[in-house]
Amino acid sequence: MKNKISLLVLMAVLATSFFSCYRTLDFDQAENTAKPIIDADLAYFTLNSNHLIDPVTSLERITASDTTRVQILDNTDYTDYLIKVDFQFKIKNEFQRKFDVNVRFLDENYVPTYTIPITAIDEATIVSGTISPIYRNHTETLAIPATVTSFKNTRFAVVDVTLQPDTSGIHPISGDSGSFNFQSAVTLYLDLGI
Amino acid sequence: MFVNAQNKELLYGFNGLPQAQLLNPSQEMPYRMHIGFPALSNIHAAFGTTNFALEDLFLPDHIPFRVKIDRLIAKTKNTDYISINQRLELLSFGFAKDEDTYFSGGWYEEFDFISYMPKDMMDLVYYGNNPYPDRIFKASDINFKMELLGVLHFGVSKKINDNFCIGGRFKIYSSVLNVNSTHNEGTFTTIQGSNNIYTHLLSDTNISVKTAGFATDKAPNIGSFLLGGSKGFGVDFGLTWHPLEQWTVTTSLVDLGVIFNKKDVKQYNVTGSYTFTGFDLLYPGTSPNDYWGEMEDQIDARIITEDTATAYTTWRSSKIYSSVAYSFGQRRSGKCNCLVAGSGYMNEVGVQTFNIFRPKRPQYALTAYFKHQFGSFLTAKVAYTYDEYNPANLGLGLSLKLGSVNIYATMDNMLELQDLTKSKAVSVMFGINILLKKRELY
Repeated sequence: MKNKISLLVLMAVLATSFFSCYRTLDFDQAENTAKPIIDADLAYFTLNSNHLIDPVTSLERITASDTTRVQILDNTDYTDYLIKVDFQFKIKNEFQRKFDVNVRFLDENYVPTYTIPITAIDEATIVSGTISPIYRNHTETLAIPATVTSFKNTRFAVVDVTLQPDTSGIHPISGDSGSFNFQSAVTLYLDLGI
Repeated sequence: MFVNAQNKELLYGFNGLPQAQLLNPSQEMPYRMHIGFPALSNIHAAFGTTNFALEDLFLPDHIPFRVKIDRLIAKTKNTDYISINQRLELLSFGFAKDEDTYFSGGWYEEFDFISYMPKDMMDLVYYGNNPYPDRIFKASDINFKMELLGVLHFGVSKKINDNFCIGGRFKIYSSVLNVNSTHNEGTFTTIQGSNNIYTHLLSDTNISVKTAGFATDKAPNIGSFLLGGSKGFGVDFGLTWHPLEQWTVTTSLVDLGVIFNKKDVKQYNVTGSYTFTGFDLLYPGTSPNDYWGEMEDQIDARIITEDTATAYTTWRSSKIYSSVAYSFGQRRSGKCNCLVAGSGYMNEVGVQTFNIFRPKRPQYALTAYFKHQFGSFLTAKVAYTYDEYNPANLGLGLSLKLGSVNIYATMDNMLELQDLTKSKAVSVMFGINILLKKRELY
């Protein structure tokens, strides 16, 4: 008798186990929602007076330029997902002269895809014999889709440093012990759900 | 649940089920012979995760899917994991040589997969490095292994005296497919720079993914599971001890084994360190520098990527079982109100422990169970298992004997049958054997 009761209880448990339940699930909502934001360095340099003097003529070089390839946007596996770009620039000017900086992004045919002017960087001053540098931080955002699309074609970056005229005539670059320091970085916003 | 995939706690110590000898070779068999139904004697499948259930992601609750993913990633730890284990027994047989000795053997196919959640990589890929200045992303979070193999085995259970029984099993592994990426090293971090705005550091990288069986166009066939794959061998040991009548103490070590992966091997390795601070423009005036090309050359020189066909060795995930049990309640005959001779005890209560050695660290489980025999045809085992991640795993095992035919089934996490969408693990087992000539063990 005991065995029969035990068996009945077991059958009841078994019967319960066969009637498992589950709530309705919606698998259609699954999507790629990753939106990584990537910080990466770009270019940096420090110019001293020698970079701004033509070695042949010994005259001031009005504009110094340098170029680097930027292949990373060549990878369509992820550039298709690029939706926004931020640029950061940090400049420290120890020269007693004003500068303009122009950052140009070019496609493979050297056609500009985007240009960032950073103008009227003030001259440093001398205070009690000590250089008091000028700091300039500049940010730029590309968010308009057409602009971002154009930027994706970038294959070269050019940084032009332009020395503004010495209107006072008393601050030639030659002999200036200062320097011009430039740092830059980019923040790429991707949306992998596109 | 955490170790559910391989902790067959309902099968362990299940007297009368020949498959229990695969968990403890000293398991006493109350029959003189057994034959498993080919490909039906043991079908087992288990799936488990430690950190999410289907409802976390797919309930139609109008919560944006991105919010659900954010929550899941936020609560994920690098000790969380997903595991899948599947076994199909193709052949099983056994016979008693004499009253004290029982031989058994067989052939089964097994699939085992475990992947720890690469928490740092998940955050880096999903969110990027921008939200995490100064954070160190570790490559050691990448930790997974998978194996598909056939196992030929032969074992013996030997009664030393009325109190002791020992057992051993020898196994030949034939690995069909293997992927192994464990013990990876290296870090990536972005910190405030001095030369430039940031400094990106990839340090001491040593990442490898080893594969065997994939570097071929040939699909695996039944022969691959017999002796056609990469070979290995392993042993099981077991001990059963009756310190007192009605008490049983057991312990076993299972799958102490190694596989020499030599067939169709391919290893992918990345080693080295590299620091990136951007392009240092030199303003040469007239001669342009190829800054990008120089960077590529530096990366090629400092970060070595290679793929080789180097053989490698893997160890199986060994398991240790142990138990203490007390049997009680001798069967009384309904005809004479006397004890039925040779019927053994109808009830058994006990405690079992389980440990498995996994790539990161050993995992464990503790089980309390009650087993009852309904007449001579049905045995039921109810078990409550606790492990690090699930405090309420209630399982049920049944073994039904109709004449010589034995049908058995086990299922874990019975409490979660109420709503499978909440379940983080499922484990089921089923099999059919022929059991012949019942015998007294003591």
